[in-house]
Amino acid sequence: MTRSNRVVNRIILFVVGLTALAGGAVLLLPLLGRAAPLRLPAPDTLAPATLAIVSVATAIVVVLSVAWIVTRGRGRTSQLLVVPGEAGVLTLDSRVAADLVADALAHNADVVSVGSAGFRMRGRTVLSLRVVARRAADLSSLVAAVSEAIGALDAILDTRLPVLLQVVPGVRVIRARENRAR
Amino acid sequence: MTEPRLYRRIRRRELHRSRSGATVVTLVVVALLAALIGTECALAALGRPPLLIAPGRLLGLAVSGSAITETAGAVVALLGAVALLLALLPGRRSRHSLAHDRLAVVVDDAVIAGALLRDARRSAALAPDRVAASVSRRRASVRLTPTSGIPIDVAAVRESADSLLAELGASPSVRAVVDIASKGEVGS
Repeated sequence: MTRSNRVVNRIILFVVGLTALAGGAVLLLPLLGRAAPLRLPAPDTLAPATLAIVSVATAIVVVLSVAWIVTRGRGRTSQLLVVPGEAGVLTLDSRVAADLVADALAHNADVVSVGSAGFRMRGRTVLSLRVVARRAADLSSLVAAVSEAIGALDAILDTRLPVLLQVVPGVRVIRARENRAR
Repeated sequence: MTEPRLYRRIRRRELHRSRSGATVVTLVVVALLAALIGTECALAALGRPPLLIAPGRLLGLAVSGSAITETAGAVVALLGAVALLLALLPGRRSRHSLAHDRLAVVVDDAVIAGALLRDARRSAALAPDRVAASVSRRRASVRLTPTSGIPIDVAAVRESADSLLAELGASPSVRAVVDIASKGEVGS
């Protein structure tokens, strides 16, 4: 999970898609025996001013596109908690939380692995736990066990971190079929 | 942002695709095309020879109606339609969120299917390979293959599956449908 703006993603896809659809349709018009609807200037007589405007416009498009591409995926963090104190700054890494939960689930035969990450959302740091479960796992007790481990974490930290728990199937199930278990 | 609102937001984002991959691929193509056209226009404005094709010739080619431009038009229109669909469709992932008061829980449908499978095995007292389960957005289907001559209590299996689903509190809500194979199999 990242902080990417999903509405803007959709708007970009919509605008580019509509433009491409319209452009493709214009190229296909001669197939229907119709002339292009636009009165295009005759080839090789493009005014230098037109060319300059197009160059500048495309340069802006390139800059905006590259800017959007390189700013994706922001918002991830490994520091769940930063507590400034007199002796220094205490930080809690997301791996500590993962180890704590993994320890609590060590005797649960349904759990293959536990991973963790942190991400910033709306001014809060969220702990994201990813539990890979075996086939036919006992989901209720798995969630209860994670909840208990998080309760212990709450008690240690004396604060309530927002937590996202993702439960995903192991590799064998994914390869078989995405939403099916036999 | 309060915790329930934050959790709602997290769950919604986890249940839908971000489309970031599609957007990045689209923008890479757009940037490359724009860079080519911009460069050619700049070169033409300065009276320099073109890199690949002069803008005037490109424009002439576009309205010429040759087989190449028509093929290109079809491909571009198709890619545009795909981008439009990606933008407009809901982009749901095969996941459900579960009700929980401390955590935001999001579970892949295959894991819910696995939990139903485990439950059905027990309530129908069948061997593991006699039970199959799958979960879609609104429906969970459990298929049982009975041992020949030994009937299965369908109502009990359905009740057990429904109570498991109710306990999990999946959202969007899921209803269990239990099917029994008309032909049983011999042996355990």
